[in-house]
Amino acid sequence: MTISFQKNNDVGYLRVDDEMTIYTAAEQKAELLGHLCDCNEIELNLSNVTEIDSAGLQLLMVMKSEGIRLNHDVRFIHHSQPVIEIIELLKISTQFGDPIVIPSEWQTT
Amino acid sequence: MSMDEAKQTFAQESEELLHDMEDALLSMEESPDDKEYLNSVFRAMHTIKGAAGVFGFDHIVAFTHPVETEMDRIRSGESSIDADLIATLLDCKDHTASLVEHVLMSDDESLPDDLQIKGSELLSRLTGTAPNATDNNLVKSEGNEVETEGEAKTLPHDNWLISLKFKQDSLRNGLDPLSFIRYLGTLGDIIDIITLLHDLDDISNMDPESCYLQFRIAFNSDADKAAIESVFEFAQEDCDIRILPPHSKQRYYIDLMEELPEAELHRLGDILMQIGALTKTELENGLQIQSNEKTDKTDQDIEQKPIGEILVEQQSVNKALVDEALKKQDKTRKKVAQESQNIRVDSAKLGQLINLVGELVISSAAMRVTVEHHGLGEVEEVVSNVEHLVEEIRDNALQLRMVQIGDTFSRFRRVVRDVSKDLGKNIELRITGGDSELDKTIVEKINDPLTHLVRNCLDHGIERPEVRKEQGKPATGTVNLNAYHDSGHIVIEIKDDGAGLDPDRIQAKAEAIGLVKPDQELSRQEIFRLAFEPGLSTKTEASKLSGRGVGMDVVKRNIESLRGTVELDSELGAGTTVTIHLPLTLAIIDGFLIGTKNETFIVPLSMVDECVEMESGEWKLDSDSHYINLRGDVLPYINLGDFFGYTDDPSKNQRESLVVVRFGRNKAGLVVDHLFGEQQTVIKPMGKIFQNLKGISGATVLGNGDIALILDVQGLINLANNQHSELIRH
Repeated sequence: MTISFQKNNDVGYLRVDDEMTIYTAAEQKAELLGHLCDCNEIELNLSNVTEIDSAGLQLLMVMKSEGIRLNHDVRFIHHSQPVIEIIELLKISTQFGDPIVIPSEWQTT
Repeated sequence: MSMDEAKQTFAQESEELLHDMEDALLSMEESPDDKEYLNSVFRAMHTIKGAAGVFGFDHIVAFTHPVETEMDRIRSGESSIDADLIATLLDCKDHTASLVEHVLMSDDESLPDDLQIKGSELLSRLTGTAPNATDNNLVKSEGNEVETEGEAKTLPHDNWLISLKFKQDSLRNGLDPLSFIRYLGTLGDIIDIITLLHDLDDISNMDPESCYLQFRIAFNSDADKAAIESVFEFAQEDCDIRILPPHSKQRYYIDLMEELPEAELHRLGDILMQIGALTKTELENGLQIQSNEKTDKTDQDIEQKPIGEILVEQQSVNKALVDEALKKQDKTRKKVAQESQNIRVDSAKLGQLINLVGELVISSAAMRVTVEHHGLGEVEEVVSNVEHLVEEIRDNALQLRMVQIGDTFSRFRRVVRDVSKDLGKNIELRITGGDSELDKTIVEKINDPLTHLVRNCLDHGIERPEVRKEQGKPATGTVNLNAYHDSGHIVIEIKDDGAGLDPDRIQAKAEAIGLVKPDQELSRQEIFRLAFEPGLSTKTEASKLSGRGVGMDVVKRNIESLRGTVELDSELGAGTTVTIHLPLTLAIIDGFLIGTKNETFIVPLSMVDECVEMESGEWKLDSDSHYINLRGDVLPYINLGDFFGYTDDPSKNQRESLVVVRFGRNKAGLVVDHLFGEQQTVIKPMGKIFQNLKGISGATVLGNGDIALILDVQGLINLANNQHSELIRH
């Protein structure tokens, strides 16, 4: 499993320890959305996302919109550099609404 | 078309436009309220700017752009027209002409300082602002300017709108939509993106390997539509792409559309594509839809949807743009219909045609001779027919080279205007007979002499307003330019109502420089003829325009080299008239073939007044003083045989004929042995060594291959008259 899950006071703490790409999307979707339904609050740690593409992005968007639909709070935290880059590129930080902390080990490309 | 040819075309068009502009400006002085003149000036600047932009002549663009803007302000009523402005605009026109000349003549990119300074000065005069407004940067900053204009003001972000809707399979097909957006970022600034998921009703049904992404991108870039579209080239199959140009772009497209040459009629799609508002793919898609609809509808009566509508529906272009393009198309359609009535032809080709027609004329004469020689009666009719046709071809071919003299005349409006301002005189130029036609080569060569004569009128002829009032004349002097046809010639008159010439002063001056002897008695006509002698100027002080005593002789020489004449008549205090006679063409004439002894000569038919039989008994022939009494008139004559020094034929008492020739007001008789009749004559110039030959102006080849000399009637008349008057004096 590339996704670790802990539940504490109805808050689900998730961490993706893999890339989020077309290759992993199918598997990740089932798991992430599954937890989303179970918990009233979800905190998704993205610090270990080594790579993200359109499919991964789509998944993040789906989680947010599904959270709104179910009235569950979905937060992303500890965005990794690839995730921040994509959020910057598409200017969706306001759409996602999570505070982004730029990691100290930021590598300028 | 090579670059040089294109440049040449640019120069030619600019010249025409500037010429129109000048006309319009001068007319504007008289009727400042006429919008059409204003438009004409605006159009000239606008079109030159556009064309110069295409060639990258930045200096011209930099100069014409502010002028155009100013004209636009005047059009919209923000500025008003006054005499100063017109004067400035005239100078702007001149400056543009020098700029055009500069870019054509020199390969040097930079502008010489004097032109640069002149341009800045003019612009500051025009706009009333500091001269640094002419910075070359203007060209580059133009884009920004557009933004500040009109409706663009209300839109703070003037961006391309790109809408991307990826199809579900695109991820599976190996596309990564994000990579396109990254690449797009290299072309300009992504101002904003809205990322949406589409067609996703139920999350549980979502296939994570399908793509549901949809982007709306506000994009700021200088790239054109095709370049932006090319970013998504690989996504075309899997993505629905809409690219809408920014508002400022719409204006830019409309401007571009205005500037499209109206030479050819284009289809709507082509027009939009040419200006970059529509890309090829978009057009192809639109056309595809159009033809699909056609096949879908079985009912033939339903009209096919116009491509314009489809494109608007597809959001490929915006409606305003399509409307504009349709307007343009309509305009072009009209223009093309109009233009097809005129063709530009290289004058060398025309020259060649006329040479060939000349040869044809000679050959047809040869045919006639052969037919007559062999007495081929049955061919007679055919030959007559051919001759008739050849004659018509000749007339038509010559007609091709004919241009109206009006254009040459109207150039003097500017000269008159400028000079009268310089000299502080009020002068009006009246032009009549501008539609008289004459050969283009003659028109070109007559320009200089005419300029000189007109300047003379302005400078010496017309007096200052106060002087004129004292003499009871209207304060505004008049210069008349008139042209009309007269016996195969065109007559140009330059007439002023100025001071006139004083014959006594001319004679005194001529005596002073030793041109005539002090006791010599001269007729009025002869005195005025002296005005064309070198070194004779009655003006006591030379001005910047004229009065140096060089010029009138040059005028005379120039006109005579065109086989024309110039005459001057003047009334002291009432004005001067200069009359120029010119042949209509230099190439082919109707000739009259005459023979004396065994030689044949041609007299231009237009100069032949009449032919009478010469009978020494009946006529009071004065063989010493060479004049005869023709129905009561004294007519000087020349015996051609004697004149050309042929030895007397023993059969002297054979019948002789008198050909009365006329040139202008002068007449003379030519005594000849034979009259052969009409003959189409192709004028061949004589070699250099014969150039000073008296009485001969050229030669031609006859049908039988013989050479006939063409008589210089005017020269002969003068000779006959002189002979006559000299004898009287003795």
